[in-house]
Amino acid sequence: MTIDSLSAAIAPYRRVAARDRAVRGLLFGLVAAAVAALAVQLAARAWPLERAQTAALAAAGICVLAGITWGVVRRPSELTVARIADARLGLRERLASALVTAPGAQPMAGLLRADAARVAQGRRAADAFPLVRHRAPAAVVAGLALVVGALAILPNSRDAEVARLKADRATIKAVAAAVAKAQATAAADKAQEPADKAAQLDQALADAQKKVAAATTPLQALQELSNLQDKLAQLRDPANPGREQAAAAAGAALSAAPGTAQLSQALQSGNHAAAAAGLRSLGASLPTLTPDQKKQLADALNKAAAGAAGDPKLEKALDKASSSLAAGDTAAAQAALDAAAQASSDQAAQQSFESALAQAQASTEGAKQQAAAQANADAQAQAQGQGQGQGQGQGQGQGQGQGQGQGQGQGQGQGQGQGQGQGQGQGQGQGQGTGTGTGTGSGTGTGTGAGGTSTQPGAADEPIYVAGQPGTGLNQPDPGPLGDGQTVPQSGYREVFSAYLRDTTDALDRSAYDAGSSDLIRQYFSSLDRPK
Amino acid sequence: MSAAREELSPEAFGEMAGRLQAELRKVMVGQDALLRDTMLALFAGGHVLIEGVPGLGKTVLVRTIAASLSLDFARIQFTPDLMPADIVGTNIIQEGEQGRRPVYQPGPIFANLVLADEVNRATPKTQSALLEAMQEHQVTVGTQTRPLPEPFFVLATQNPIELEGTYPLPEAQLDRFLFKILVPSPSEAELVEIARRTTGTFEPAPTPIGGAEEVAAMITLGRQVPIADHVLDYAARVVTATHPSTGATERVRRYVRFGASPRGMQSMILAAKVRALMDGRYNVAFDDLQAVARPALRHRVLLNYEAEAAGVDADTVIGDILEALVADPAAA
Repeated sequence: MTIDSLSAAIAPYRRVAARDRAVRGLLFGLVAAAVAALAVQLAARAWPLERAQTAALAAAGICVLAGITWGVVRRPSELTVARIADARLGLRERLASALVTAPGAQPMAGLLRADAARVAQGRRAADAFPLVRHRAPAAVVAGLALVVGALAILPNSRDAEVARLKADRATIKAVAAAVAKAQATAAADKAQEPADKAAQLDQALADAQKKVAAATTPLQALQELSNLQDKLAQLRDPANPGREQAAAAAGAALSAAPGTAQLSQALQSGNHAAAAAGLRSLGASLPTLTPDQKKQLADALNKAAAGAAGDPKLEKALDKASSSLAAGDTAAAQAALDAAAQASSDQAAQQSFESALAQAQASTEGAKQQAAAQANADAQAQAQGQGQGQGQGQGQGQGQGQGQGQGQGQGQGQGQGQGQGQGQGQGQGQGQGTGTGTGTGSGTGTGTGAGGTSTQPGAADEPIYVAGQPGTGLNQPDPGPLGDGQTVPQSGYREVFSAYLRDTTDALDRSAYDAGSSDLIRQYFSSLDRPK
Repeated sequence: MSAAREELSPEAFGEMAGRLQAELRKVMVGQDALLRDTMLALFAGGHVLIEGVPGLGKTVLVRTIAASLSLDFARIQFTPDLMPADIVGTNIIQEGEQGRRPVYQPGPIFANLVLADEVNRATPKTQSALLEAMQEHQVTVGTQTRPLPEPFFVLATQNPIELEGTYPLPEAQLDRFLFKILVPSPSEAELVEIARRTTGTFEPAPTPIGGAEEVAAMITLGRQVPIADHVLDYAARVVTATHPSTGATERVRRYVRFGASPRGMQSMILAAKVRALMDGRYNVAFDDLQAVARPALRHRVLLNYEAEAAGVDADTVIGDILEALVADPAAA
């Protein structure tokens, strides 16, 4: 009997043993996979886990793969196979002894190997490694699979929470994208002036985009957006409306003057670039005017200067032009008109910046609405999950715009909470949450009701209202200066109320809302006491 | 070494063992364990201590073996006044043509098979005379050392009942015995058969089947049986487990005073090899070791007084160990 004949006799045992080890590895892998999947399923019921099923499948797959790999790589050695076969088939250590006894090393080695090969060939290798030995792990796998399957099918109380988390993440992503888009839009407008403010705008949007993207909750994103809007508001030039009105008044005053029709129209329509060109053109045409025409123009310029009181630069230039023209100093009048043209050019740049600012605000306003809605939903869900004693504060309200802090509203109910906006609400319970009545209003800036003390506009007993941000496409009256310790401008309640009422009425007149909503809005305003 | 020793094959070994067993069966009734273990010890080249009451056929067994294998046989009845010289021989003064000169007179130890009957009745000094003979297969008288005939096989007996006036064998001497065999009383059926065979006119006589050369060859062949490392490991684990310090079982920790010596493992392995050959195999199996564990270890595992009080014997302890140890962990 040669080595080869003994090896040949053991070869079937090795093949069956390899199969047995692979099956064992697979079953161990399946057991581990089922345990891992079970752990994930249980964890998904204890904590809100997103992609729990995916994680369970991945863990199970890894375990199975590891088990199969183990089974294939860790194939038993020939000696181990022989020892197992000896033990299970009752071969009385023939195979293992023959394997470890080198032929020729001992006088009896040849006999032993021949005897071992003969005995090995006379038995079925499969009997040494029967598949039935794997019943126990197979049963465990089956049992665990049933449990895991049942857990996967049965409702999970955490599903709603998971859905909310997903919605939170989607909202934050969308909000960050909106801010990024606003930044891109603002950056694309290279003509913005003044340059330093444009850079501040770009920086504010970039910072906000990063912070919003890093936010973990919609509420955080909302906070960042509010901060952004505060910064954007600070970038606005409070004197700009005055200058716009001054330009319009100047344009109106110039309408009767000879050769100023286009200039007048440009000024009145707020087309400051055209107005600047018109003023330069007017200056260039001065030498060609007749004395009467110069006199008429001087008068008109004088009136225009008076009307442009809101824009000192324009006023001064027009006044200078008027006086110089009246004095017959055409060159000085021409220089003054060039200065007025420069003022208009500056205003044109400011107008462009304000437009970009308004665009950015409009973009972030939509994102803010989205974040607020999701934060509201989160708060409601959280309040519902807190059981009895922590109820919901619901309210229906009609508000204008959005803000942060404590809103004002009317309503009945008891509740504690932090809310946004204004609203009417009815509710019971105590709870914490954002959003008592985010109103569907006609959308000008809602007061951010940080009801701090103020010594700013308004009567002594008049409540202080902190103005919010302007709505899309609407102008906001100039906010008051900042109070001590406050970071947002303040306005008197009357002023705010009047502005709201005016804007709301305008919106209603434009039929921006359906009849039902319009009635509700009118009812809301009529329910408010007019400031006395 | 003779041709017989060189040419003996495993098949011839098995055949001879079978024939010897058949010859023993002609004379002996029952006592399967005694016959088997005595043959194992004989072909393993070891000595046997037989413990049993008188009249169970111990002398008959040795005589039959000697007759079957054509071996020299000597019987020494150990008594308290037995002297070492009575065993190993002595120098006597002999008158000759050249005057008086000392001449060595060999003792009964110079035989192939020596029956040391009631060995525990002799004094320790006399008992120790067997030590060198058993271990070295030689005796020293005066300044001269003389080899004993090969094969040399001592079968000592001791009576477990009559302990008065006896000298228990010291541990060192006990360790020289390959096996300690316990001879139980025959069953009723065996007694009937004994009576039938021994009270009539016909007295069965064994037929010689070989000689000392064949026995020596069998001893040599028995040592050639391969034993795999994992089987050797098992033997070592069994022996180690008899030590209370390693404490394989609760009984070992509680009742064992001293565990088996390395000779215990050697005895197990040699006997297991012979057992495998007698079974027609060419390798040692776990069950060979398990079969010889009790006779090979029972006189090497020394129990304490607590064991005696609790009625626990060495066989129980060894049985516990065999049950507790997994023979081949790799195949488990």
